[in-house]
Amino acid sequence: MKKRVVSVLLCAGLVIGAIAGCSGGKDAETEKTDSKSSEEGDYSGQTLTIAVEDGGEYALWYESIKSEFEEKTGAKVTLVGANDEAVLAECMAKSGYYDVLTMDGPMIPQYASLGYLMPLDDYIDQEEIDDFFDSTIESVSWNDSLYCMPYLVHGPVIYYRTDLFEAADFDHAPETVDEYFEMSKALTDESQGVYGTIIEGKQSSEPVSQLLDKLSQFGGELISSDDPSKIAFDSQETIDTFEYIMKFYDEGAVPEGCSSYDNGDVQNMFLQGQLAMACNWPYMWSMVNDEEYSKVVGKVGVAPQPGANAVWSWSFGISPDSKNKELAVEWCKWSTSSEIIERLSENFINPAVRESSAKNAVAAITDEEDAKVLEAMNKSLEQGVAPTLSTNFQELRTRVALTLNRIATKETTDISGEVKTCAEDLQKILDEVQ
Amino acid sequence: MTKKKIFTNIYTYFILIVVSVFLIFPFIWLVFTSVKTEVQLFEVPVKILPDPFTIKNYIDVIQDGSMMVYLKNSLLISVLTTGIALVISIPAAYALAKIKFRAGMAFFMIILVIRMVPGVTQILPMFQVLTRLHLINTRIGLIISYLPGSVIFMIMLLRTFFMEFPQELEDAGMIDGLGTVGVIRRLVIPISLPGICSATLMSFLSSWNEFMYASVIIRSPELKTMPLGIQSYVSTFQIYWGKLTANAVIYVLPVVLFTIFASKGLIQGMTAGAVKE
Amino acid sequence: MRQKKYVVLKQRRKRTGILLCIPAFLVVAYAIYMLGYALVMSFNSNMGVLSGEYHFVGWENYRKVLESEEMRGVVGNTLLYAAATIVTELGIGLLVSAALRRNLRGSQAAKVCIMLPMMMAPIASGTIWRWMLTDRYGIVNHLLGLLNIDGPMWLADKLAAKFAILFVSVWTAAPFVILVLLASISSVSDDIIEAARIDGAGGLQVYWNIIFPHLKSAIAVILLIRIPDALKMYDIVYILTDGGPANATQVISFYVYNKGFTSLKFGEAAAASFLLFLFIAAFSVFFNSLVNRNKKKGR
Repeated sequence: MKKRVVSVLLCAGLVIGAIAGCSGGKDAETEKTDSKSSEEGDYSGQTLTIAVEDGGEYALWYESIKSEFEEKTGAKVTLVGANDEAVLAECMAKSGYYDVLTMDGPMIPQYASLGYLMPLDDYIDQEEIDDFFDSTIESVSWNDSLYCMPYLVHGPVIYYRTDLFEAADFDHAPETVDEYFEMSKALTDESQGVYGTIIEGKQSSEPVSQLLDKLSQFGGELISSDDPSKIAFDSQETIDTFEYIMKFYDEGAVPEGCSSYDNGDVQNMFLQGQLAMACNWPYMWSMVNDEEYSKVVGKVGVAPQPGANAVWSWSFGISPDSKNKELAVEWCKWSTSSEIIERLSENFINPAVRESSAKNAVAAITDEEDAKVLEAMNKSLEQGVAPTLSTNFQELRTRVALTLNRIATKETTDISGEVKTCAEDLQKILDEVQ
Repeated sequence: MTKKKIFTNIYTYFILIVVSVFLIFPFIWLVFTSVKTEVQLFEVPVKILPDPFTIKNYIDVIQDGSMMVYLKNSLLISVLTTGIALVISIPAAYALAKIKFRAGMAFFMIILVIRMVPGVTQILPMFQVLTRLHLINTRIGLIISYLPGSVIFMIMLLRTFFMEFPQELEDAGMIDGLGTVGVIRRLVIPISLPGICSATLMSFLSSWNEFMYASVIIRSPELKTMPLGIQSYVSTFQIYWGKLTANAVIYVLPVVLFTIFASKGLIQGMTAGAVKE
Repeated sequence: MRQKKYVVLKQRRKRTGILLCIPAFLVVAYAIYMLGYALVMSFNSNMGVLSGEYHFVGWENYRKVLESEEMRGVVGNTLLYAAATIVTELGIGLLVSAALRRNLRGSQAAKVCIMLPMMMAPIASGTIWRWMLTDRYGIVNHLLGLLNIDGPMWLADKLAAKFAILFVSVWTAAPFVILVLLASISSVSDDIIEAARIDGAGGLQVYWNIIFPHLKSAIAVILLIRIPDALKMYDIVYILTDGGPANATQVISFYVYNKGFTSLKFGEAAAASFLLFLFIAAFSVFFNSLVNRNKKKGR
């Protein structure tokens, strides 16, 4: 008898559960269809779904100010944390689930050529475009069409510990690559658990970005900027770069396990006060000053990297399958408007992508320390080199990551041989798309 | 003799303790990590005990609120998948165990083959099919993706249990006028209950812990399951270890408690089927 | 007359059997459909899959996969990994199940400890192990340091990374192996062992001559379940090493996933994954028949 009661309850539970379970999905569905019935200009009732980087700092910031856009347009905005796989899968399915995509610069050529992004040329006024720095617009264009609106273009800068520099009688941040090495070596003090810097060597994409910075400092490049169908990796400059990096490894200017480190490890160690210098992204500045995460609040200065660095863009693009294209265009315009970019720049103390915003931000920042930092970051943008991209840049990057890791782990000590093989492979990969 | 016995006892305890520590230590470290402050986590040399002790990570995670939603989703999806799989698998497992028919043998062979298919082979087809059915980003879509795995696993396990079910009892039931369904409901299920319980638990756990399919099928935050929630603390730029571990503790706690209470029955059920092949 | 009734009954029973299997068959059919879909996809060009069209390219994808040097390394890694984990698991399983069989005080607590890793989501256990194995703030090297052992760079050194993957896999799968062996070993009757003892057999002899033969079928089951699982392993590599350092821990499933979702070569990825499936299936059939033949011989 008891058993029967239990089984009846179980069945009832299952049914109720099933109904509740379905309804969640359905709600989302109905919301989407509702959005079709709206008039131009007024977007009330529409829902804009934006794919953002899961847990990304800028995504959180846009989340915090999206209500302003909602008030302005009457639409509802949802920022959905999405990994690359999810975005790609939706694009392949042409589902239009995401109206707006957050694009990491190197992905734009690929997405654009596959038709996963809508060209924006007809939607954005030339006047607007002129306010952006040329290099930033270049970084979001492909085959002479504009595909995204950039909200951030940045390159890694040097964070350095002012207290350690003072103690070592260094009166300026490193200005040449040799100085960077000498200082790293001099500041390494293993007994205190402090290392000069880190040059990441993990087989993953972030360390490749750092490698490309160093490569640009030595005057080398990955894809030739003169002829985008040629790999320029097999060069003396590349070999010099790797030899330079290995000097840090061999002479103990970096911690021992650093061939397995990624961007996150660098940040952790720097925030813990275990590094004297770190090349890292502009957004780390806000982490440095957050007492919850950082032990080095007030002891950090920022300088541009010696001579050159690569720059990368982050931007918003629109899915051609979006059912709310006009609203999506509104979002792209609003989120990269002069005012919003200025606020972003001031909030993160990051370089601004628009001339007007950059001017206003510099004027608005009163704190002397912050002003200096922003100046350094803007410098990194000025000296920045936008790497030549290709539609399969990710694959190229994956291949370079392998070579970097092989050299960093001393799997091979024949640098010129490794670079040559790598360049041959890269050329093959590049040829596949021509 | 006694000396030898003491020696073997020491040796036995040594093995048991070493292996138990190896298996249990990550759980202890998980808990310790979750009650440390973020700054403390990266101290060198490592401090083993949390000092200062903080529950801030837990407060943050709970206040954030999304965890409760993830827990609810995980529970709902695992319960539904397992429930449906049970209803589908029990009759089939019974038929395959007790009735000799050619179609059944062929079916069982197919099941064995399908079990070999790696998840990675299925993921893209699954995605495209679900898109066409408009089931992407729905709980139903996720349940449908989990069902084949659960059903196949359950049939394989339950079949071995049902094979042991005494024929005489079944005949007696038939003579009493119970149909096949009656026999299954009144006799087979009650008697094989321990086996069914362990199959249920294993199937529940596999949905509860699944990550790869969920990451490709689910989009909306309000539909995400717990493993996705945990993964969201690992961004390309940073890993928030404190919050991540607090989340993980809350996530495994119910299962761990359940295991401790039910361990005896679980061990019997879980292994009985596998051995009598 | 009786004979006829029997036949009718048998017929009816068969029909019942088929009816009972229909719902399950529908679910399985869905899985078969997806497998077929993957097969079809493996003959489509990479661009075709991305743009949602179909460009039949024949064996092109298979050729590319089989010719690629990287794939050979990956296959080697996978086989090595599978062999190493399974041997280690079995070794631990045999030791621990024998120890547990003695049912000393505290065995029950040990059994609970043994079960726990089975309950943990692979994503969670992988993450916590990664945290424990980091070289600076990782507890593992710290503890080794207390024992005056200079721990390796678990995730940076080629060999150490392989061992890291091995440890974590063993951690997640050993419980299953232990429990299955324990169930089997518990059914060896004490009387037989006692009898052998009286005949003067030592502990090892008893184990080798009486207990071990008894475990053979359990070991066969473990191999049948664990080998395919080990060959398809994905999550531990994904979380722990990303396939590095220098591709030392690339395994097939991970390679396939990246080929698809990172390099966007879904046609080749489908071909590679289909080859993996064929390999696992062929192995299982072969192994199964081997076991069955032995069983028959045994009788």
